[in-house]
Amino acid sequence: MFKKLLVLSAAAMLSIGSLAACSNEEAGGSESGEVQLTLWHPEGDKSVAYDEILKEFNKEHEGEIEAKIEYIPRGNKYAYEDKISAAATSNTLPDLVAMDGPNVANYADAGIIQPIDDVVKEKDKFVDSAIKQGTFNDKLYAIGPTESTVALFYNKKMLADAGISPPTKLEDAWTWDEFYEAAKKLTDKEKGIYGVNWTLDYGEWIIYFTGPAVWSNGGSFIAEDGSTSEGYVNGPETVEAIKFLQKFTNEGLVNLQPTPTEFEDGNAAMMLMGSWQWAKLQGYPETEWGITYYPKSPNGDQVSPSGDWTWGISTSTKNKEAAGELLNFINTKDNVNKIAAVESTPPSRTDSMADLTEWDQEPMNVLKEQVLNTAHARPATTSYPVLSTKYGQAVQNIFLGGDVQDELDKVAKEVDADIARK
Amino acid sequence: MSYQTKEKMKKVFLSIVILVLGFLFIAPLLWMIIASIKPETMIFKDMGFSAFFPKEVTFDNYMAILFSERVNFFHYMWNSILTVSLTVLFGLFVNSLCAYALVKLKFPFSNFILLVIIALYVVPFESMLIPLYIVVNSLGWINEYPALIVPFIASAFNIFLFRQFFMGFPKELEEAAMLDGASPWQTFWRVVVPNSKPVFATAAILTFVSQWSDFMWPLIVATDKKIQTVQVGIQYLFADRTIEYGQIMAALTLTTIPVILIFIFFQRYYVQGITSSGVKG
Amino acid sequence: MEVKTTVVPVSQKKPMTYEKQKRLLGVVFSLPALILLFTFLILPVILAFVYSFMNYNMLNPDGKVFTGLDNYIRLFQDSIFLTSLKNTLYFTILVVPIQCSVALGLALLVNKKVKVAGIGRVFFFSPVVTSMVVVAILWTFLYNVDSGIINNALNFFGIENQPFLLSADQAMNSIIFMSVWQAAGFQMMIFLAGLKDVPEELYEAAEMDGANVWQKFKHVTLPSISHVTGFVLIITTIQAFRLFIQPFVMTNGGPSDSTKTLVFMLYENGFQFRDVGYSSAIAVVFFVIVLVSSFILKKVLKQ
Repeated sequence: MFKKLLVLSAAAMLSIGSLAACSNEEAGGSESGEVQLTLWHPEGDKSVAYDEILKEFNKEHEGEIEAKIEYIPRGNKYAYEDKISAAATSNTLPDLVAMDGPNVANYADAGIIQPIDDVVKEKDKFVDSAIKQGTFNDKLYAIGPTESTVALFYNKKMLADAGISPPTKLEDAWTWDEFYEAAKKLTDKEKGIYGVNWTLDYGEWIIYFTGPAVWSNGGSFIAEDGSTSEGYVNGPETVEAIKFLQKFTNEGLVNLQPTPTEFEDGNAAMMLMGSWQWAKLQGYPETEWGITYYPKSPNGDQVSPSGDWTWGISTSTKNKEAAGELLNFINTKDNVNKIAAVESTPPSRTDSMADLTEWDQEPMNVLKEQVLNTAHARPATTSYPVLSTKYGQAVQNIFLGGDVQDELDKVAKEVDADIARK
Repeated sequence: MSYQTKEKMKKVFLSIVILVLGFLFIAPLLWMIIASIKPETMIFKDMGFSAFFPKEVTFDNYMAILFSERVNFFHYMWNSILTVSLTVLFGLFVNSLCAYALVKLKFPFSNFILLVIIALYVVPFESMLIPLYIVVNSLGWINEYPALIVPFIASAFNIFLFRQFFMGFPKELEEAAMLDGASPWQTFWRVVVPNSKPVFATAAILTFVSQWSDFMWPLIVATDKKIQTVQVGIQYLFADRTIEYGQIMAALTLTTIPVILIFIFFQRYYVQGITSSGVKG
Repeated sequence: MEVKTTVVPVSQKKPMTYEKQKRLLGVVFSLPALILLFTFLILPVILAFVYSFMNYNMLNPDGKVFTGLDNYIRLFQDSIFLTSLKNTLYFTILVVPIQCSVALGLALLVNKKVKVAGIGRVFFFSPVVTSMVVVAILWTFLYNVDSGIINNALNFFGIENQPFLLSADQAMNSIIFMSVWQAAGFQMMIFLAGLKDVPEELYEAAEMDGANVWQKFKHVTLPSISHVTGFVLIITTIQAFRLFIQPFVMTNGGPSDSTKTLVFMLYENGFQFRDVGYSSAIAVVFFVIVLVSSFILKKVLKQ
């Protein structure tokens, strides 16, 4: 038996040569001059909608354009981005590539995606935050059908029991103090119940969900022109905002090591989470859920985070015209509606938003109002990966009791060193 | 107490120690399997000891994976089994032969080559990902099976492992074979291999495990579903933001089964190696 | 099998001495592995070495330029590099002896002729094959500061709750403990293969001399598996130096960089920041450090 295995391996050894040889033959060109387009998008619930849209597109352009979409699993935090990087090193990128909003600047600066101002048709139909997220150096590089936002989800019964009625109008959104008081009232250490749950996911999440607190307080992460972060990411307004959030972890109103379903299981009364959380909560029909606005700073207006997967045209495409046509096709009102319908994702087109009448009712109206009125894009800078990673690690340390100013000073130093190298 | 009862007592005691310790090691795997048959909303509700005794059992998670319309689980499973098995088989052959040559058939620079190979084991795979991708891409293997197999056949770790065991191989056995007129090849094939089953089994198991669980490399070299492996494939089951833990646990359970089976299969080669031929150390 | 056929005609044409034939066959036998190693290991390593002298943005391969020793100069001024090196050494020095002892202990246990030995092997090995996703979720829970099982056990002995992964002082130790649990099965399998090669007769002879369990272990087992022990120590050391996945999924290198390791730093710079040049320089320095350490270890082992 044992020897047989080895003999088998020797035989297989010979066949591998032929395996390798035949592999090269498939890569033939397309027949009859039909344009071939390839798209990359991370795997997710939207895939079903995209399959449908591409089928329609291919039918409409039969004999002219044939588009094929490949879904890439995201795996650990950065698997999709790592794959794009690997493809960029060998010029094997697809014609159209989907990317998370904050990556646009980095990709545009490296020259792997190209400006699309002359391609995109109905630019004025998109919400400002979506255009801003896709713009780098005053040129539009990416546009996507959907948006996202973070709101405060809550357990209706637990809030009612505590005599708390969360705001239902944007102008009444909780200020930090009101939010803090509510969280304090809802925390019950004896029973192991926390006032708020916020995920301490290590990837992009931290800058995404804490951003509004910073912006609402008049702070920011980096200078408008991207030249320095000193005085911005560690400026007094930013420090004040993060100090406010630190109060929650210092006083035990947030669980630093929650189970993945702490909020759903009734062990936390509120949750700061992305718009996609609503779909997940439908799996827990026995509890009544509500949504209210992201709390605002006493010194400023209500602000909400934004940004979702967006499409760009790679510089290695041989068919910019066809790629542009497909890009516009994906972003038509009808197709945006289709994609947004999945997972109840907010669309990035204002006219699609207007179509969604069910989003006018409570509690979904909260998400709609935030996307239309208070959405703020993350900074468009080539040093974004360093900023996001270092800031995330700093906030992590701050939540564990680190000094806010010291930690943010370190971030500013790292980011400025990165800017200087570019 | 008689000698027999004393021996028996000793064995019972040992068995209990193994089982108790064993539970500490296998508990997470058990937890995973049990979580996979719980309804989604129950998985993290109770994390105490009672997590191991589900109140409600469902096979929905398995149904969702095995009969998913979008994901052909069996296709990915087949790709993994194919590529990993071939890597293991070629690897056993190529690496053991190389180690044997380096240890027993000394040729010029063989010691130096050995040193270089051992040094190469130091290189972390993370630092090679991009250069290796560039090499594999220049061979035209992106989205082709060889990309998942050929780069991992020769393994510094396995050569080092075989070398270490062949060094301890009794000289008497080899010399006896050579006196019988056996060529070095015949000595290797008829004497060394049959008497080294435990190390071959170890190399097979360890290679299988590390290749089977790899996610990053298959993801990067395979965009085409045609050759994607199960570690990549199961990711298709997970939505990007709302995570279904029950399905994750079910998928992970399904992907762990082949590794456990391989382990049990190769275990039978853990027999006493050399004593059977009557050589005294 | 093709190897065999190539040999015969050679020896027919010109009679060779046995030694010469042996040497020639040595080259032939090792060639397949060496060619593969060169293409898929040495070549990438050479590439990485070249990149370490370049400013190379992963997204912009055409824009890479030689910058001499810049990356290395930057590396030795980077305070995170020193922290990562310190953490990596700390982990290695503690985890290697603990993990190898545990592995040897487990191997001795399941090498006994009892019925449950086979089950024991599967059980002890199972953490090696259990997905890191599950392991991370569960250990984060076991280490939970408020309700974790480990803290419950400590409370039972009158010790107050420990923060474990949330504390810069305890996070690395927590990862060490977990790593030993997770990886000991790997080394156990190698020890087990070694133990199977120890001739039964040696034990029988020792027993006749009236040796007890400890004496048998010290005078028969240990010397007989010394070549395996040396091997296990070296590969465990190298694996320990490569620590990455546990901090990556459990602590993200924190708190306060206390679990940031060299490979973590290499990954972060290479993939998250897409700085291939800097990342390659870290790899080269890492390579040298581990090589020197293994060399020292080998010298120590010889004594």
